[in-house]
Amino acid sequence: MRRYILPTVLAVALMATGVWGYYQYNERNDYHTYLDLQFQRQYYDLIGHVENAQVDLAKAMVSGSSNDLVKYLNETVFQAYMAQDKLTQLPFDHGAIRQTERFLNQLGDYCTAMVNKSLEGIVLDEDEMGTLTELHGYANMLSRQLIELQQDIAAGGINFGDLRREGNRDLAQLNDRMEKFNLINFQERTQEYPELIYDGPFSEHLKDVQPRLEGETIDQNQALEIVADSFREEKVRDVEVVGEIENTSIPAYYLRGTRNGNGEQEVSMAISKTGGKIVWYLNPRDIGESQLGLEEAINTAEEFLVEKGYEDMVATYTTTYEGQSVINFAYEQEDVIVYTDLIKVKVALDNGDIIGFETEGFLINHHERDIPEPEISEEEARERLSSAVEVENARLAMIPTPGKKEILCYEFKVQFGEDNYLVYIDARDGEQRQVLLMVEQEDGTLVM
Amino acid sequence: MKRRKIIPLIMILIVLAVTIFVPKNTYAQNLSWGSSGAEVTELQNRLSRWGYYDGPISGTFGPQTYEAVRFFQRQNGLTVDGIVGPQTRNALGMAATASAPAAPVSRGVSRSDDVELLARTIHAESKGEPYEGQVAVGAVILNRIRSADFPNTLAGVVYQPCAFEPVKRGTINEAPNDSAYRAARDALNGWDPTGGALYFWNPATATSRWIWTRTITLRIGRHVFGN
Repeated sequence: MRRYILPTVLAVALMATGVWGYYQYNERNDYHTYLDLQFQRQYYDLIGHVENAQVDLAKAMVSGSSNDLVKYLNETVFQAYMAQDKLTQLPFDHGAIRQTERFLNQLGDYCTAMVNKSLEGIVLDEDEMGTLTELHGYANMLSRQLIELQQDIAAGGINFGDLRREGNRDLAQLNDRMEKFNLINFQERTQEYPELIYDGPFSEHLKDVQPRLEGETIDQNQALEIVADSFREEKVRDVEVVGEIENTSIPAYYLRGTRNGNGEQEVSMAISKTGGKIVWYLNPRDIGESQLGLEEAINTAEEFLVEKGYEDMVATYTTTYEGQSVINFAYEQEDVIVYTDLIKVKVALDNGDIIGFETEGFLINHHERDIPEPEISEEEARERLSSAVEVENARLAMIPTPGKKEILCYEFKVQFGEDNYLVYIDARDGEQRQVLLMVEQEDGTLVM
Repeated sequence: MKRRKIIPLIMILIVLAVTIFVPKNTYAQNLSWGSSGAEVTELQNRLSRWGYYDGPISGTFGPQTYEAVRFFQRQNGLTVDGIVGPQTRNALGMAATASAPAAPVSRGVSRSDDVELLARTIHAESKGEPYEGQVAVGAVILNRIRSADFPNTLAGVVYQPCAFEPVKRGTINEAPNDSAYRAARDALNGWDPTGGALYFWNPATATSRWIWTRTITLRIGRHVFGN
């Protein structure tokens, strides 16, 4: 009898394993199929959205009135962004789909720019209609290629669910084909006419913005001196250059050091190669109980700025959390707030230390501007507001537009219901340019 | 005597009830050339009653209405622009009721959910890196949202398939530590040590050859940043 026990146990165990394995296998297949179907559906959606974008764009182009144009362009925008959203959720390599992604984003952005133009009553000119026609051509081509690929996927039994197998040949092939989509001409055009193709928020040419920062080029030793000089009060020591920041609008030296006190806290900063300005500074120390109020924090930050040579800076808004306040400062010229010339200062509320500093916006944008005289009065601008709001405050401000231009606006702080808003009315023609909802939170004021 | 007092009281109550329960127009939008609808009818009614307007009560704001509004504005010392804005509206007695919308306006959504997701990604991607390296990872993710080559939302960028290794492995679901939170806040507040980088990778473990075609902006700790 005894000699049967072991084999019996083993046989039972084997059977159990088999049953378990079969169950796991089925379960895996179910998940696999489910995932595959989800991806298939998204792929179909993608084709649908690209086709719709193409059709709506075509309708926009044959629309006679600007109302119809706006209606169809808006629809195109929505379809383009939806297509982009679907595409980015598919398991393709980023390198393979980035051209298509960019095309869809720029299609949406360009149409948005045209919608805004039409809404202002400007009739699109020949160049702009030409660009729309061209975009339509690419959208058409893209949807045809996507359909072709879809048919091959169906015929070749390519399974999107096969994520696990590294170097999956089918998916790799798909990636290859996505990459070779014929959008290359479009890429070239974008580079040729960045302004024409594209004046939207994701604009390529924004990256290549020429900084206004001027000054002598400094070497590493000078950078070290500047740090020693600038952070004398913060008692930063053992500073060394650990790297360089290159290929950006403000090339800089990247430095690290140790701060006395606070348990040998490590701090880091960047000093611009041109002009030797502090680009950013970070001191991530732990923060004790708050002793300072917001007013005091703002005063401390202002003193710090003046000491660093930044005059005429005005605190515009603040965020306070976990014992620290981040205070945004904008440059003020002739009583006009210039929002693009932005500096952020972070103050620790336990002892008033400056624990963070960020000047990139200021360094890139700051210059003395020819601020135009407002063409409409504050009274007239006020008339453009909705009558349901209560105006609390008004002033002039230069605000950036998506295409990196600046416009002079009246900034109204208004109340509607329980919330505060900032409404920007163009000082030239009275158009409403921007509305921001201010979110009052326990930890401070955020502007969205 | 008593009844007489009660009647006005009841009337007041009725008026109150009406004001409370009947949804009121907010009379918020400005009227100008091209506007149409019940409010324009109301405007034309008032203007013609007072002799500023003698055209048809058509409910469409056309040239005649425009002239009438300008006439009215001139006569009443208002800015003469032919647009019925808050002040003109007041003078016309079509004052905004300034009633708050029936459902209170949202008190605004906080962005704390963004902080949480960003902090988790930073934590999973750059545990043990220098602090500025963590801020840099956060900045790259935020730069991607703004870039045309990537999705336009935080969740879209973080959960994009094949984008971040920890997302694939599921370590993104671990709770972030204080340092990751702080770095996420700093990145959201605009600190970007990378100068606008869109990619980062670890030279020791990066498998994609494509990634090396990017221009490098800087190295922090174990990571290389580029765009």
